[in-house]
Amino acid sequence: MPPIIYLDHAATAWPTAPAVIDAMAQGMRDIGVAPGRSGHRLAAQAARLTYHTRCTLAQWLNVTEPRRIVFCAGATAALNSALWGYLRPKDHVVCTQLEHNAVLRPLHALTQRRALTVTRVAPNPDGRLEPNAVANACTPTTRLVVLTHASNVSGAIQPIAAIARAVAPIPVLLDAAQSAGLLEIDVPTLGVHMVALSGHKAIGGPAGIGVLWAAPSLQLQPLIQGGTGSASEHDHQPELWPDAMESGTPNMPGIFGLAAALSEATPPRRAAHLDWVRARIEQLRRGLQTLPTVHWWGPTDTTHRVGIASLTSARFSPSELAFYLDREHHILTRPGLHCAPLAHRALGTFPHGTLRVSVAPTTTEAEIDALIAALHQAHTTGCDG
Amino acid sequence: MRRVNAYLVFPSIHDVVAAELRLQQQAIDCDMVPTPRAISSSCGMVLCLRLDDLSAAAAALGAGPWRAFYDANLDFRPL
Repeated sequence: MPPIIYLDHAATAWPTAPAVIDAMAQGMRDIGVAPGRSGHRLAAQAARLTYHTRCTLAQWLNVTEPRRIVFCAGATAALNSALWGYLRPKDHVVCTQLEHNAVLRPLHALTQRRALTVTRVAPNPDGRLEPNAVANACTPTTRLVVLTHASNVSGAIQPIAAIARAVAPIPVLLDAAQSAGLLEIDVPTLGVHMVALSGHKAIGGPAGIGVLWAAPSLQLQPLIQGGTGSASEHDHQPELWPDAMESGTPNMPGIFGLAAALSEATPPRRAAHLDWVRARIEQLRRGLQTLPTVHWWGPTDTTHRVGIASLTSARFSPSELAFYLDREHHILTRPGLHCAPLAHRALGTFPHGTLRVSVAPTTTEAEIDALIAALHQAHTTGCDG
Repeated sequence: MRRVNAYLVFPSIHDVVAAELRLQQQAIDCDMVPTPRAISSSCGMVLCLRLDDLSAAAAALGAGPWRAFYDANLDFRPL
């Protein structure tokens, strides 16, 4: 069996780096318990590691209050905590058509349960947002603007700082699921007020761990209440973060792994990784230029992308192509709507979606060459092999 | 003569670790210990240090959401 070529890193980066796996195994073996609950040395060690991971994340985001960083089950949980925690009945929210269902579905539920109104701003044909279009969608009752940093469909990077300036002083919630680990997320520069990110994509950590940061000026109601290991004598949830937002035993293996992944994700490495994945996407784009039946969606300028490309074929559906690539060439991609139906409507690829190719710093030039050759072969001999 | 300890109580384990780090940076010895029941019924941990070091610790920590107790007679009186 030849080795597989994994090009679905936007879903979950794979394989997980040995250092991350080792850190998780060591943490489970040597610490293994949660902070704050017990008074023994293992609980103290867990507390120290959790604290240092929060501080690392605060440095990453260039924010001064590590306590405003809370660990969640992933970016979806982080976004839900932000949306359900911050929005009040009858608020107006502006988001974009590029959002993932992790944003669209909570907002839809909030329109039903809290009578929110939502305006979804369309991107330009290349998949990028116009700052003024977002600003023009805001009304006097707009209480939040929700933006994806990079589209999980086309990889298009959005002009977040320009949008945040255009909508100020309305707070901005940034969905950094696809950008964290590749793009700098400097909160003061971007001008955002909440950031949600996941550990298992470009950061290179394990699945099941995500992060929400919220500015101290914002008041959020916790999505769940329960044991925090603090103020246990009270009936009510503590108000002080992070305890207020972190009920229940935390995912310590996830935090061990995330800490290890973050220690590898230094700014120089992140910049090098971004250059590498962009080069692989550009390699793919050039390799497909002689295949006129394949359409390339999103920005043609690779500097406007993270390591994601979306393709369609005039001859084959995305699912046919994905199955062919997997079966015949051991190349793993992702067809369909990618949990972002409005993004596909905006691109014009709804309802069949696209074939998404997402690369990582571990993706080699030879692997992209193999994908290019396989797509050429499909369009020469057909997907039946 | 038995050492007299001071106990620093914080609202969250997050603050306990932050304070421990700050005291270590100032070369003030402290231990993270279970919260004495006489101080709080809350689970969790507090910082324990020599009462003699309390002034230096207070200077290092500055104003914040912490309270100090001491255990001269194991009665954990507030300071």
